[in-house]
Amino acid sequence: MAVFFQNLIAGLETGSLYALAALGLVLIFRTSDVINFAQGDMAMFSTFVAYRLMTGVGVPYFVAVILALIFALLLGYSVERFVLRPAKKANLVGKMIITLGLVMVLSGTATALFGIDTYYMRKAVLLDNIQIGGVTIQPNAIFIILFTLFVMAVFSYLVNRTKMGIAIRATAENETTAQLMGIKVNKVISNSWMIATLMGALAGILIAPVTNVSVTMMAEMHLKSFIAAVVGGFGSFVGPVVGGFLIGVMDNMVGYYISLNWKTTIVYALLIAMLIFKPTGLFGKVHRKKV
Amino acid sequence: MKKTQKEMMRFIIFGIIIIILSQVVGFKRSTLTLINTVIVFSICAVGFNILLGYGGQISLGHAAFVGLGAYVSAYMSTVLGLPFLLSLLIGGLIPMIVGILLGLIALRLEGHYLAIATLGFGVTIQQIFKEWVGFTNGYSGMRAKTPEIFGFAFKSRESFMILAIVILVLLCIVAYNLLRFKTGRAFIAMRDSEHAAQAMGISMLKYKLIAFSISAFYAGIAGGLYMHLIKFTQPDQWGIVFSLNLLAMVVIGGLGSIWGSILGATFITLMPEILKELPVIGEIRNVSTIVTGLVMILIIRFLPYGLAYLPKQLKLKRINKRNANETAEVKA
Amino acid sequence: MNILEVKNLSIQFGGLKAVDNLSFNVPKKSIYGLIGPNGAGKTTVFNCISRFYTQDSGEVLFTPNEKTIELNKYKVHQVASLGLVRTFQNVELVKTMTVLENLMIGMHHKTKGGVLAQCLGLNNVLKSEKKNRELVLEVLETLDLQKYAYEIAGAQPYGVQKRIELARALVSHPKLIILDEPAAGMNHTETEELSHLIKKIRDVYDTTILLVEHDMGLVMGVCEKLTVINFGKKIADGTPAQIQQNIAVQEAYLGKEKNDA
Repeated sequence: MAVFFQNLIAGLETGSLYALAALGLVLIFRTSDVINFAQGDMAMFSTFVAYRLMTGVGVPYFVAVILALIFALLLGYSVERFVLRPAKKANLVGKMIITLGLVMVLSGTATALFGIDTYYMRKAVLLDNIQIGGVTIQPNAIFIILFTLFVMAVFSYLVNRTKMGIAIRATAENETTAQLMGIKVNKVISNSWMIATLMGALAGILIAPVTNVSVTMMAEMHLKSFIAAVVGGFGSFVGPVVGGFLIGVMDNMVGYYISLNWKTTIVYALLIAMLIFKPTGLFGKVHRKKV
Repeated sequence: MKKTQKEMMRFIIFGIIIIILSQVVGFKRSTLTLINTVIVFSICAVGFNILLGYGGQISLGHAAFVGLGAYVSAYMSTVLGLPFLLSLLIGGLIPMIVGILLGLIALRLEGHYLAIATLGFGVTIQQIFKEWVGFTNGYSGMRAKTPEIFGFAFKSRESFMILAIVILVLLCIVAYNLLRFKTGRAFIAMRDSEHAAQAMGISMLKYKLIAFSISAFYAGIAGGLYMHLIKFTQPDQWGIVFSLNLLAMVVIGGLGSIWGSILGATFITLMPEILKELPVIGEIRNVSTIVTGLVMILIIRFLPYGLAYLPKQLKLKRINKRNANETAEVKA
Repeated sequence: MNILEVKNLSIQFGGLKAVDNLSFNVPKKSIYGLIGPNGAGKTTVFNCISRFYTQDSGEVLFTPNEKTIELNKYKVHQVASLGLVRTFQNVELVKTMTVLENLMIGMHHKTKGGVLAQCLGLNNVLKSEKKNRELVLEVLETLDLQKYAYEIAGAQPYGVQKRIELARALVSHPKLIILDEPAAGMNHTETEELSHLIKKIRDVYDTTILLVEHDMGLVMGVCEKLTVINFGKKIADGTPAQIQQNIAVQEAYLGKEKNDA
């Protein structure tokens, strides 16, 4: 029983980070109609920035994290402004190829700058484990779950109760109409990219203690966040969050009770099943395609 | 009809030129390996182009098919001792069947969902390569023996080149045929105007399946040839990096163009070697990955149909310029 | 003899009933019009008939030859080989291909040769291609489009593209052609020419034509019988002369007259 709860908490911990990453993906997708395949590498880059500030320059952890997040904002802004925006007229496949090209540029640059080794990064919260009824609980895990829920709550407030949020939702529904209503769509898209990159960077920094810092650190999480977004549905902001937690818990449970090596495959099989039976996701609406 | 015979002759002449060059010019062994790699990857790229350039279906896990072809053909020829050509063929057919399975899933998915599904597919198959040690030997790697046809062993790089070129030329002609008849038209219609295609009697299911299975077959053949060239493989070779490079070949070389595929394969294979020789840039680790990514982005931005389209684009520019000048003259 | 019978057709999107219990019959060899104000549901009806949508209730019966076919049993891509071809409101040509190639797509279900035969360039494939090419060039001539045969379809002016789409629908000599707003975007002269063309097609190709339109000029000039719908429901049936007198139709198009006195 104790083991089950430990797995559950571990699942919620990684799940909350998948949710964060998936939320960023969906935000970018809904506002600029692009699947940002480079999300994982952008997060990896930001994490490395935090790492280098800490170990190379000697900056304290939380300061390094803040600086890395600022870097993430700038990175997100630059990528949108200088790579995606000029190519706005490209078709769906074209934009996908651009973000895939970005994957190559970013991972190549990261390897050139940081090398192929793995490095250790500390947890956010360094308190000792506590024991409740035979279950070992890591304070860091609790912190991560609460913190990401907090971030998502802030995001939810932003989207549902602020002017910027209305602009985001309007652009997500129909960009042309939003423009006609006077919304500065370019600004919305730019903000979306910055927020999404920020979320990705947070996810990277918080998962770093588990995966260690390396050029390939985000690979698995990245794929899982895609699966989470698909399972939850790209059509809403609630979907990816639920999807993230679901995938996180499933991942941990499958990994422990069935097989560690095959857990990614099994979760992927769930994705396929989802895509076959309910392609719009758990929270997606079924649209009749207009002819 | 004459035009099509000319096209086919072009492939054959190209092949003959390459063979003659390789026999006459004293290339280094490493250069010959490089050329052989280009030929093999060209086969892969042509198949991938059929799927993406003509059919408009995106597949981010195609490395899985190439790797599958490599492992299957090596298993057949080296472990089971089957004749080389048969092993190679099976190495193409098994991925083809898997490709049909992927196509069945693809039917329901569009654009980005398909991309994500194929991404996961690639990861899964690579995982199988790593875990199924009984078949692939895992990280210890799998070996293949020298290819042999009717007792003639293709030991030297030059002789392998003849084998590879013949297969490339044959597969190019097959692709060319397929694409100039109703299947090619159906692919383009499927890509550009699904509704019109369906109204004209083209089944999306059928043609997506054809696109996936053919591209998987080509990938498998390429994998099998590659395996018997290098004679060693291990699972790390068949991951996202390879899939992205394959995508780059077709995007940079030219979507919807057989020659473009060959051009793209040449670019992606030769570019790292050229970059290594350069003074400052050659020192940077993974610089070829960065350059490939940059070129891909620039191509989509400025030359969306790829390098193969460049002569047409320049011609169009000249025609437009001439029209503008004529109008100016008339006005003056 | 009716070539098409629509019986109690209904379909809704979300909460909105787009087509409501619609019934009408199209006689063989006629030129039949389905008209109504914007948003009346006309294109939706066409999408149901051509199987792009599946209706919620009702049936569509198609009788190209002797046998009557229930269209609901067939998938969208099977409809063309049954003898029913449609055009699209927003021209759906493959813009990057030549006009000739676009029309060859129209011959798709009549082109022989499986995948393997095509790969090998076998004789039966070559012969079928050649024969179809000639048939296509004939149709281009009938519609006065032969000079565009080798031009890129997407580069042609809109009016020409609409004629190309019409030609594409014709190449396989279908028994029933459904035209979705064929006069959309055309000026008066072009619409006149279209009228003549539609009549010519019906006579030369011995086919039935069902069209959706809200250009009254074309409709009154070319249709032999009409069904008028509004808000997805039928409001009138009859010849153009009868429809013109129909008060319900007038109200639907022009709105109810206000009494000032």
